[in-house]
Amino acid sequence: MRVEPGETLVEGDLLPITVAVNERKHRSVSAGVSYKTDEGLGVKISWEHRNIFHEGERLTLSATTSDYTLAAEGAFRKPEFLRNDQSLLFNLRLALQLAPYYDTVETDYAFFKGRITSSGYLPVAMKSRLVLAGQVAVGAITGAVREAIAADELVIENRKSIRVEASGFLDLKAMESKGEFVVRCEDPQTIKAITDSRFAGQIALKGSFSGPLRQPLGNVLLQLREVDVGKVRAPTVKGRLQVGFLGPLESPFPGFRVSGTGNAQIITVGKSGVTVERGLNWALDVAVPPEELIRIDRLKLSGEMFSLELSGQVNPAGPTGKVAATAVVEDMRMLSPFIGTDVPAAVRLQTLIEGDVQSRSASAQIRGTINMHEHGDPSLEHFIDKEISYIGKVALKEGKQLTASGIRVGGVKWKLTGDACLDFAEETISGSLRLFVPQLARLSPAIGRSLAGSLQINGDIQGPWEKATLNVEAIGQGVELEGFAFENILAALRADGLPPRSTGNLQLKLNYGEQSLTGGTDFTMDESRLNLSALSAKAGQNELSGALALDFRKGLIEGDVEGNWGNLLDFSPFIKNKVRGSIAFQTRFGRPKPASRSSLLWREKTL
Amino acid sequence: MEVPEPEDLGLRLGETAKAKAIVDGRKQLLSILKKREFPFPRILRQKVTVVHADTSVAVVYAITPGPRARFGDTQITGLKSVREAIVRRKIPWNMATLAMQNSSLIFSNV
Repeated sequence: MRVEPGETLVEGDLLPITVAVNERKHRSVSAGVSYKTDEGLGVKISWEHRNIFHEGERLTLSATTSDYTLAAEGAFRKPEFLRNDQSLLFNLRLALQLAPYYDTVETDYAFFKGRITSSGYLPVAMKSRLVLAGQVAVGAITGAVREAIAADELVIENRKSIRVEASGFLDLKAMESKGEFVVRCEDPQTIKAITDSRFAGQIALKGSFSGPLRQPLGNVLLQLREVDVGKVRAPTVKGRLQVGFLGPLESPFPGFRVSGTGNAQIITVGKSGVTVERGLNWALDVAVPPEELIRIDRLKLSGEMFSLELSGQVNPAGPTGKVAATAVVEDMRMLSPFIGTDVPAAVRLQTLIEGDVQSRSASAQIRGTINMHEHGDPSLEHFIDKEISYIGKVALKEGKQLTASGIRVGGVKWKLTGDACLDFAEETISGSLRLFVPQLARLSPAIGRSLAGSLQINGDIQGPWEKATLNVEAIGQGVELEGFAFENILAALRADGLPPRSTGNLQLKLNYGEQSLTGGTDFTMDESRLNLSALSAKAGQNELSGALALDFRKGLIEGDVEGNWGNLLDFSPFIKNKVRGSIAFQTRFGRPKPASRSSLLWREKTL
Repeated sequence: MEVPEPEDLGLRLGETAKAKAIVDGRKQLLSILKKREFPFPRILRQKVTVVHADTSVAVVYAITPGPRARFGDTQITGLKSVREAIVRRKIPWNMATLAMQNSSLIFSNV
């Protein structure tokens, strides 16, 4: 076979390709002679066609003869059966065994024994280690005619512990079937190995099937023991399932539907086995039509503390999917082993998730509420409302860009809105955030001081992760803090780089009537060190300036601050007390040394 | 168009300069361009300068990549008994694919 590109482009930019193939011979005949010490001389002749239906189907027929055996065998292989990556294998063996019959009960029977065996293997493409295997054997001893061929019992047993038992009959006249089957797997690790998943457990299935031959309906009683899926364990899971085909069994495969209900007892999480649910009921209704689409009409889990209801469509070929889900966790503390922290709250979540694993894109619209529990963490209760609602959209684009848009979180005490975008390819971040606290008085218990007024904080962030630029503006209206009252407060922060390494500037302005207090500083943060340079503050005729270096790890402060407060009366509106006079001071902060001393020079006039 | 790095052509800085490596690098350059949507690249000029002062060799390949291309119609010849659809299903490219990275075909025996 050769692949030859064309020598010129056609229609602008299209390169024609020629694939030249050379077919090999399709048929072959082979013959062999054997000698076995028990059977003696034998001859085998076989014929093979590798393209019998012109699509690469392989048919092999062979005949074997020896002193005791006369057998004909056929094998058929159809490549790309239903899917490109799977083949249908079909073996047929018709053997006439001419073994001597010892008539121990003197029945004078002379019989002819024939047996046709057929086995098929169909790889289940999604799990390459999972192969559907089937074997049917039909035998006749006397050749008596029966309209119903009964299979008394079929037992398939794997020494590793999977056991399948089936019995039933096929009524070929009425085209009906009826039977029962039992599947048992005692070794919990077997299912894990077969399905290549984290699921381990003992399985016992007891089922029956009945109905039209081409569309039987199955009922299955399911019992799982010692279930272990990752961190989650349950000693027993029980259920009743109905399994049916979506149409008569023929080519193409009509698809099937599984529905049922059941429950799981005592679900524990983690190595220590924390019980998160005493009992969880489940209901399932899933259809798998032939067009590679799994339709989840309903999946419902409900327990004392947790419930989940889910519906949608999943295409395992992508895999892609669209799922709507509603989840309620009555106490988030049951999930502490997963999230690593105690959250004393009930969470309700509604979400619509769409995703495509191949393009690594997904989006989720989320909305819900968080209800804090009574008698939870008191320090949290002061900051957080009893009920917080949230809404927003989170999206991942081609695995590179994570965006959160239209985020709104909050309750009565505060409201947070924002958008954010993380770009993993460019390693950049951008976003904006707005926090509004309408009544600061509601947060008074949280800080243990009297507080009034309102506060709004607007912020945005932009740039590479390492050197993002942060702008934050805080506006306070009518703020009162323990006797200090301000008509409005304006604070502005600009920082290049995020902690622990950041440089920038902070400005503060407090107004009360005609009086104002302004201040500001440039800052440089490096790990635990914070340098405040050009530190200044001014209120009327009162001024303060200096530079400080703070080391949070060592608990040190160094630098000079000097103040020249020419008219203390300018401070009066802020402290609601009349003060007169003037103060000038120079302060030096330094490292304490045995022979050194800190100095404070204080000069006052008519205080 | 992204130009391949010398390492992609098997020319590594600091290694002994061998004539074979320079010739192989030229073949490799053409091969890379063919895989990057340019089926008709040409080497216009190859200049190799030996600088005796620092015992180094400078290699310059002047290339013209030719027109950028997409896969066009595929014609299959030589079939007698096998259905054409079988061969077509195994073609790993389609017309929407710009790059020619997977132009090697793997066929089972038919």
